[in-house]
Amino acid sequence: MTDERIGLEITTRATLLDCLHRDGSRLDPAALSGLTDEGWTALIEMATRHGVAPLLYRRLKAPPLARCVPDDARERLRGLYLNTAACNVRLYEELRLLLLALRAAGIPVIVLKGAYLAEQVYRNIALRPMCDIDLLVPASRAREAWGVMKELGGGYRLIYPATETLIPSFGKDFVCQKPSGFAPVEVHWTIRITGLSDEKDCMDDEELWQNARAVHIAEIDTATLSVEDFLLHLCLHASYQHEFDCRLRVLCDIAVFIERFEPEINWSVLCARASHYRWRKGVYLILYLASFRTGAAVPAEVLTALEPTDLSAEMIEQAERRLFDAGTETMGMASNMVGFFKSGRLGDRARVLWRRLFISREEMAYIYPIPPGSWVLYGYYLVRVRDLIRHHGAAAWDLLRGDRKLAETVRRRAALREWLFKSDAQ
Amino acid sequence: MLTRDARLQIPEQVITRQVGDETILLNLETGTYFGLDPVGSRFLELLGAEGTLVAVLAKMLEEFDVTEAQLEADLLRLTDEMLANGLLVTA
Repeated sequence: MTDERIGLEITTRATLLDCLHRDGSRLDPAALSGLTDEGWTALIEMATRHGVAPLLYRRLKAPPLARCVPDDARERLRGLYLNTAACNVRLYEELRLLLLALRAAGIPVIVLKGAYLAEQVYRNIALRPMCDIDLLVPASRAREAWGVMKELGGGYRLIYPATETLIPSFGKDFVCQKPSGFAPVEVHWTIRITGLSDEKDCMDDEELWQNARAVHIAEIDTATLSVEDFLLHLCLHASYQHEFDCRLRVLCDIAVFIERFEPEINWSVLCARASHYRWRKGVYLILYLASFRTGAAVPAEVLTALEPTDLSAEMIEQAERRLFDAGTETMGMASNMVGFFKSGRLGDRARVLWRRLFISREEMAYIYPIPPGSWVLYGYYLVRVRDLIRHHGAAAWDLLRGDRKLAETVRRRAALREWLFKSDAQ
Repeated sequence: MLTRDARLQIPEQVITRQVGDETILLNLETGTYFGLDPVGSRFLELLGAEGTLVAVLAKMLEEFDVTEAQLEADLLRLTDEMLANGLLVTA
């Protein structure tokens, strides 16, 4: 990347962050007036990549900023805003039918993440792009929920697990989509945070259902998580689940959520739960970034209470870097690749490789459409080798050839991962 | 040719939704969508209540500072575009 390009990237990032900040006075209209055509293109592209183009549109159409925005930039942003609205209208229509069917079958549902946020927190479905629908059902009703969805018009097809008998005995959710489908539907039966391998890796299902709140979404009476659980879920999903590879949108989600529920949030409950489940590091880091970068109203005493004792500037920088670079090729690198390349020792690498190639029969049946008891499954290990080479071969080859930039990315990511998942001192 | 007396309605497969100060119409069958600014949103609201272009025209003339010729031309253009995209139909 040339110096000029890096300069543009830095300026664009600063402008976008000022546009997204809860404090409207941070954005200097002069900074917008000074943007060149290239600057506007960069700003709109960055906002799109981070899932915040509709928020940028809303911010820039309000006076006095509106007069600083060229017509073509405004029209492009309006197009993105309307496109989000159109996508979400379809998605909410699908959700409405789903919720009706599950309610008719007597299956309790909790609506998670985007579908709740867009309608009830942003209060304008055009402001929050969504790429799927996330629902939570009791584990005991998960198979039945899939049965209901299979019978619905449009013909949902299972994507994961590939073998439906694994619902709900293996994994944490099933993912399905209509053939003409607009977005996949993820039906969770537990909120498990991948990567946290000890007994504290799940939010307590019983507690989640006990604390759930009644809400009206997609014109249907349904439920969502309690305020504290919802905020915790956003934090855990961004930090431990995606290791901060989750775009700036998540910081806006947190900031808008806190603004909407500020008087109701019981921060003591949130802090106690984060400490009890050893989630302090991830929760602290994402709340800190939301507070610092988008002005989320996280009380200072909450940040103090959650701050890990071994926090370093490098970890903050790396988490932030991953947020900013989210969605780019190197950032999307699988965590197993990081595990493989972080160790220089051949024996360690061989162990990681072995573990990832020869996953359990249940994991195989989750990915490939073969029952876990079938002998045919063994043949699929060869398919797995082929798939791994196809997905990660190019990056692995670059790393083996000594690509310094990629190696540095791996090193940083491995350091963040190690810090994040190392139990924090209580 | 569309006339002032035409009776118009939103077809069944079209969903309308308020998003901020705009209204979006989405044809679920074709995926075509259309965004209406606050003035266009008011037009759609009145069309739902009044049914005909001429009645909407009369109401909007009371509400907006615009000449009848200008408003009629604008509404006919908008209506034509929505008809062409299957977001409105003649009853």
